[in-house]
Amino acid sequence: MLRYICIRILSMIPILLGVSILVFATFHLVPGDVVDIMMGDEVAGDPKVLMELRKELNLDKPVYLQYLYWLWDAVRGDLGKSFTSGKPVMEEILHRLPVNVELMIIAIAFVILIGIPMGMLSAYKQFSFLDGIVRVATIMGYSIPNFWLATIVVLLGSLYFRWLPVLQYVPFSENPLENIKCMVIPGFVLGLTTLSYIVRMTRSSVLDTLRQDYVRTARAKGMTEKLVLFVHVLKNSLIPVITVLGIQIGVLIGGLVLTEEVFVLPGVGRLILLAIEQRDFMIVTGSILFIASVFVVINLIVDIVYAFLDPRITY
Amino acid sequence: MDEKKENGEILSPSRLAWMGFKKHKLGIIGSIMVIILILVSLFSSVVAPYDPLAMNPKDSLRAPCAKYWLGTDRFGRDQLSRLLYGTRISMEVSFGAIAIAIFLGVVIGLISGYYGGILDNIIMRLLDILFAFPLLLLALMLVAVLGPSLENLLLTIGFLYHSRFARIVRGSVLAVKEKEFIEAIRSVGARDITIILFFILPNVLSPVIVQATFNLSTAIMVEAALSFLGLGTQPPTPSWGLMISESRRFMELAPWLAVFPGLAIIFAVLGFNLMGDALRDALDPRLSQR
Amino acid sequence: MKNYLKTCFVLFTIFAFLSCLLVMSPSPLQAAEKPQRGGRLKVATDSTAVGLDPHLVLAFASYTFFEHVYETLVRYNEKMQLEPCLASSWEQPDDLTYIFHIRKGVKFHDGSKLTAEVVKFNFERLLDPKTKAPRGAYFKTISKIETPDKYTVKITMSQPYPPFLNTIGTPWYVAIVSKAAVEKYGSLQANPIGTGPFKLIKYEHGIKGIYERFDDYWDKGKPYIDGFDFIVIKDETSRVAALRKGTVDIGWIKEAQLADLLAKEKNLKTLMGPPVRQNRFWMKLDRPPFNNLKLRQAVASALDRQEIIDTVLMGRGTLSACIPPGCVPYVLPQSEVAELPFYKQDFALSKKLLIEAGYADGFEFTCITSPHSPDYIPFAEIMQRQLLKVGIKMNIVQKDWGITLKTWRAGDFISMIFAGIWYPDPEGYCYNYFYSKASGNYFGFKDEKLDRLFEAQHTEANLEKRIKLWHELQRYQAEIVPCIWPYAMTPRFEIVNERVKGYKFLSNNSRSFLREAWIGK
Repeated sequence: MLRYICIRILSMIPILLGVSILVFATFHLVPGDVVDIMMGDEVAGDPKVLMELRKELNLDKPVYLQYLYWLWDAVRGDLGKSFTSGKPVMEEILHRLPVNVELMIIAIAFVILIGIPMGMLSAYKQFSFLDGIVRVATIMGYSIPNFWLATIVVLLGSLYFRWLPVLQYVPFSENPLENIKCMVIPGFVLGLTTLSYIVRMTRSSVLDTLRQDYVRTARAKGMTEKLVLFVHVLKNSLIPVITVLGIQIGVLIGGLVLTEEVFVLPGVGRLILLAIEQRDFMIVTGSILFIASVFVVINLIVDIVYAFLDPRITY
Repeated sequence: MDEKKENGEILSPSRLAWMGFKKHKLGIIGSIMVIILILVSLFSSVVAPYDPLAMNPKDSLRAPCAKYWLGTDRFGRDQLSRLLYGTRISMEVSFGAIAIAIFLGVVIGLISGYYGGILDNIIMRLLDILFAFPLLLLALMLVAVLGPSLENLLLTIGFLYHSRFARIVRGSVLAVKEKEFIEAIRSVGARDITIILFFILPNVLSPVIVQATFNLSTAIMVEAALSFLGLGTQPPTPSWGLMISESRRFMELAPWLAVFPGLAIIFAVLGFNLMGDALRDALDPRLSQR
Repeated sequence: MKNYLKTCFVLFTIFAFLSCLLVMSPSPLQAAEKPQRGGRLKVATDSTAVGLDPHLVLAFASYTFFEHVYETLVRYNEKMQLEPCLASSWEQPDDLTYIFHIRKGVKFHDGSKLTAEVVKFNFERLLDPKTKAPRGAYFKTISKIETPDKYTVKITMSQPYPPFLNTIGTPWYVAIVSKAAVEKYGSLQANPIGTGPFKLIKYEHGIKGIYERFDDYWDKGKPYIDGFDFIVIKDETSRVAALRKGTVDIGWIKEAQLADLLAKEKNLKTLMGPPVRQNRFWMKLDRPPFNNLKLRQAVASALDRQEIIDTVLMGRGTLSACIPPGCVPYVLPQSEVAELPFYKQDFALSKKLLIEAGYADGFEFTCITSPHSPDYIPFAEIMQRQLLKVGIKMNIVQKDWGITLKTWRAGDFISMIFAGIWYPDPEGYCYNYFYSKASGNYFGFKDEKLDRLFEAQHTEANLEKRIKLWHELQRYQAEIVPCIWPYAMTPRFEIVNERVKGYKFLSNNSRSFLREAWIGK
């Protein structure tokens, strides 16, 4: 087990290296750089000035050299400074991270607190009216584009009901209640697709478990239904659900960009969008690398938990 | 799923699959929806009441009425016609992109799974890199490099999705390759290419078809999302995502402009998802329970 | 004893009555006029700064952030006329000399004092090639900067430069920064230190800036508010929602139809400046097809400008010559603008010109634009449709903003659509682009008569004569169509909550009047 974890951790290195090369290469193919953006739409006084500015930011060097400079710093834990704000990239990321973590926690909380019980109920009462509703609702749930839902929620909410989900982000440390108020709806919108997915997953997984011999045996032994459900069924049917949840975290991270944009939340997703637009390539590389690492680590954790839960799997 | 009918007659796998599919009521509904979508996209010029590009500034921002069933946008263009033409764009992008993804994915998956070893390792690590990216962000960057256009959107989505197919195919190949009948064929002296194309490929197709159906729906969403961010289809070509993004400016004056393209996306995605569900249950009973 | 009680009672009654009166009927007039101290405002903007050193950046977005921190020698009042600011007065003994008397007792946010020496340092910093100040070139006519005493600056020009005062009145050209801070930090990109009414105490890139009242501000008593949060809300509809709900007090929007909607809100008022923002259809003028004069005229006369204004701006725009209607006193009267050559849609004329140009069967070209501003793509779409009627096919290519700017600067396009911003002098609107020797002539344009006119106005110190030259320039440019200016509009609609008093919005998008704003009940 320990060896497996070590190997997995080591295998992260080439992945992250690959990610950084890919971002670097792609981004350098995009025409226009941060100097163009700094100049705005105005006529610059002197083309020489532009060249000087590029020189200062190392933008006049060949791409591989720029990459090596960057890598040398990155290996030592320095992701460089933002071209546009002058602050260290890591500081910019960490500053916004709480928003994303909170959004993710809320989304996952919805998924677990609503998704899993709903899926279980639906499976347990298979073919009932409730089951029918849940199944249709979940299919609908993952067919709704979340940027559209977010738009409708923001606009209908503010236009017709004079009620606003967010648009004025309040940090948790300043006012926990206001903060939760402004994060719940974006969190839900973000989690909706995953929620629907998990409901379906739980449902089929529970159905699968219910058919297993040991459940029949337990029932035959005269165990109460509740006990059967919680002791045998729940534990055994959660394994695939956890795997899927791990994969879905990637989907959630991707969804953050659009959710943050529409709900105006100051998270890493908007930072990246802004940086792509402003050609602040330090921020882009740094934050994408950061997200990729988070993603890889989460997958690793999911795998480990999975191995832990399912004794059949050995490494 | 029963392997036999009541009378004990043994059925061919494809017939079995069809029977399984038929039982799935939602699947039938989904297929009808998909057929409607395909028909609309093929015959949009016949069905659409107006030219989707024709501007009529005097009729700008009309609410749905007898003349314009779904209202008009700021230039007085008929929204219904634009939605119908938009169907074609969505279908083009999703089918085209997924076709690219399947082609790349199947080729890579087959090679990687069949030959194994170092090659397999390298390919899988490269795919891991793609998997470590939030998909939408990568799409954003790629489209920015290539320049926004329908073709580039197609290529980008195709490129991003191929890894999913590659993984599935590789997994199935690994399972199939160990079967006795492959050993038998190999011992007869068949070439690798023959074995891959005629014996392994047919056996890995059903998970690919299932995956393809689901990915068609996500491709529609990604197209819409990228167009929503201004990186997809170019105006004046009507695209659902672009229409939603334009509508946000007129939300209050003309809510119909935001609602209907959204419903169109839901309709399309729902159709493919329902069909995918049924296909999965029918083709691959194991998958549905996982 | 009884009497005493009685007196007390009477006194108490009178006192209570009086205090009731005082509480219940404060004079409404007085309350409306006398600014109240205290309170914080929330102000929304749409884009984020790229650096905060006024000498090093050009981006408008940066300016919106640093304009509260820095000040200029002279400044604009609400009528866009110059008034004293850091210079308490100035004089111009001849066309080549400017003398500024620097205000005494002005302190920077870092505690250092403003002297003539500091002002001189600022100009020298701008002119020093090592600073890499992109706007340094605007001041290359300065030949000498002298400081006869501690509070006097004398600037001598090598040739007359009429835009000088207007230019130095604009904080994004010559904001006066603290010399001590420059010596300490090198660049002020992350540490803005000026003399302005507000200090930037916290800046979160892409999110917000937090400003606090500068207690040592030279204009005693101002600003009235304790400070404000400057919040980035990129999405226009989200900004509208925030304004409506009152989560922000001041916010600008670019889109006309949203301004229409907000005008109906009781607690919001709309401030807008004169139309100074022109949308532009740029053409590459040294290669086919647009090097052909007749062809350009054919394109211009195929456009129905009123229809464009009605659909793209919901009618909230005006016709524009090569300088926008807000550019007083140089602009032609609006009635004359409408009569400029090729300003009316005329298919017959357009077709005739096409034939003369040698494109009888029409032609096809690409036009690059960006979703950066909400009116670019709608304008492109309707222009495309209008041109189709004379057989010209225009293909729209959408690019992101960075690419658009790069392509433009590289001169690597056939045509492009995007708008310009406000300039302190009419030169900014076209001289910088179409004068054959201008650095912004990315179009390869050269027209001898135009050059002659441009050169004449550039050094014409007499206002009357300069206005005449500009009238001629407007007529002539309409005729040779180096660019198409479909309309001009107010750059932004500033939406302000009723509780904000004393606030004014300048047509150059300046929010400097936050120094005068106060919060009513």
